[in-house]
Amino acid sequence: MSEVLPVVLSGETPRSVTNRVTGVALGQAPSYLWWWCAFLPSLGLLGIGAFSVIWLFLNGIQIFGNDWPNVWGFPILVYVWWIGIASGGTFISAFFFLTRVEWRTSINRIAETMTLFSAACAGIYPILHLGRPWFFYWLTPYPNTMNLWPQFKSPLVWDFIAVLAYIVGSILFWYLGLLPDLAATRDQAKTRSQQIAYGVAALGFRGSREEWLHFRAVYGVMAAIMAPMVCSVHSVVGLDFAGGNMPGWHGTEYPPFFVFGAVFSGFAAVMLLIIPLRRFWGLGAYITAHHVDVLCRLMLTTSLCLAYAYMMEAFSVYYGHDPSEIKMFAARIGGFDSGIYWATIVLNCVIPQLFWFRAFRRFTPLVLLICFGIVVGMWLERYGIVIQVPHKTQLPSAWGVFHPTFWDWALFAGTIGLFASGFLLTIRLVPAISISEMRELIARKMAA
Amino acid sequence: MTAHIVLGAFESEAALTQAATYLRDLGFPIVETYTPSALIEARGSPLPAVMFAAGLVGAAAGLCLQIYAVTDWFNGSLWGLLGGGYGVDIGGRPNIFWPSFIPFVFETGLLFAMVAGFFGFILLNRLPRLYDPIDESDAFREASRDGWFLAIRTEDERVRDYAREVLHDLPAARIEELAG
Repeated sequence: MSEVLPVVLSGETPRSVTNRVTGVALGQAPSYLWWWCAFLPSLGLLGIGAFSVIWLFLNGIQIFGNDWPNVWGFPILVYVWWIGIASGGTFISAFFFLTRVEWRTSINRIAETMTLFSAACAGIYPILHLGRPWFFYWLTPYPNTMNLWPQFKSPLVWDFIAVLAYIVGSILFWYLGLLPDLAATRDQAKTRSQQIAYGVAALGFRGSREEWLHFRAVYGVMAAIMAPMVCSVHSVVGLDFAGGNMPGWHGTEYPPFFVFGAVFSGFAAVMLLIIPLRRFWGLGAYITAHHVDVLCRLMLTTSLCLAYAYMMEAFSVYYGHDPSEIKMFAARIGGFDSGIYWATIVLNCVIPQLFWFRAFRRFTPLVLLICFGIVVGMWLERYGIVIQVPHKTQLPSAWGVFHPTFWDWALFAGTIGLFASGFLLTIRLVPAISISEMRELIARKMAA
Repeated sequence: MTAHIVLGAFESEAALTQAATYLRDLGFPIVETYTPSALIEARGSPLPAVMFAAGLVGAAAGLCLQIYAVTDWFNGSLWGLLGGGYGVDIGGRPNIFWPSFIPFVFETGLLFAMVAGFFGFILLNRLPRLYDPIDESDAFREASRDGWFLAIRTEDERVRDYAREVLHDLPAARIEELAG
């Protein structure tokens, strides 16, 4: 069919990959100028976020646009968006580890790091959106003086435990996979402070037979756990909505629909990160045109899955014949803000069809543009679900329109800052590519 | 008696495996390998089973917690000191409505398995171990790049000398002796 693109460029050895990847972490890359150019604005955004949080704590959630009929507003919209992006990273690192695909090896670290920080952004939103955020731990089941338990039949409690398990699991999976690479960085470090810092972080991993034996076993099982976990987490996010009696939310298609969208936006976000990173840090030998090509095909697949979900969403409205649902949906596709719905369709389902053609998959600037469109499109999809659906509930007396405020946007910008600064800092300090797995892959390629 | 470490470096995985097998056949008690990636066919870790068991424990704990919270079965016993449970009518469902318990049980099970796997790994390997006498060798840093090492740890000087001789004859690319 098409010529086979290399997953690693020839001429690379286990030694060269170790040198190059640890070199970036140890400050030996040719230039860090671009890194500072990206990091400082991110810190600025983070500052805006921090200020918004302080303002929120001083004034309460009245500073947001949340009001009846829309009590979830931006915080839950952006929460769903971030946790969706996180899912894509785990999907790449866990699911494709189990299926033993080779292209996953060089991008799993970037994907997992992306997962960590988007999950962190997602995690803080529901807490901030509580009226009394300092009581968020009441969601944890523990014996307390009030003799009260969380309501275990509520999807919101499932969501709490799912996101908690997901964040803890993601950190452990990421850190375990990182240990051999931290050890490699420790051994290449020249200055005493670097040796100590990476030495402590590597916990004394030395690559002994026992360590590798347990490492391989645990890493494999962890991947097998993370793959179903990521599906369950976003399914539970879907159940948060499906569990409510809101026309437009109360549907059985929600869990898979949400998983498709989540993985789709995650793939696009990974692409937005790997293309600049491989260029700026000279990692083009390991993240090749093959990776871009494969991710484009995956996005095409998930785009079609999502198109199916959108069709089912529309179909079930008219097939179900519930007048309030039909009114709500008519407003979404033809109301004053119907542009949101149609932009979602165009960005998520129509434009990605360009990935059917190899010429478009190979043209990196266009790929970046389409991926950016997908990330925006997925945000708009969540806008439609979280913001537009509750505009029209069963009771016309409760109809209303949500208006985001300045602070809604400021906190959203702040989470982008949190993500970007956290991601950049991590990818600067730890090996951006899984060196130990790349060594195995390259050794296999050299032997073949 | 002082401990000794004889460290041998090899150029390739094949040379190292061959040497390690040879030394074990000769009867050396502890031949430890240090390699940049896992040696082929390393099997037999108990951790997957531990993780599975921890997952079952986590799931069972999640289920018991929910049953405790929605019934008053345990309120009269010592368990009642945890606060006691009470039923709540949610959509007319029974108090113990198992389909609603699935997500919580599933997540606690996976969470316990992940935590057990990570800390099991740390415990079995006795990490963190920030210093090991073997670190005194500068060449040993290659073990995380493309050096393939084996180490014989012994307190017996005759074993040490014999190990050095065998490594020399194999031949190892480089031999070092360290105080253990």
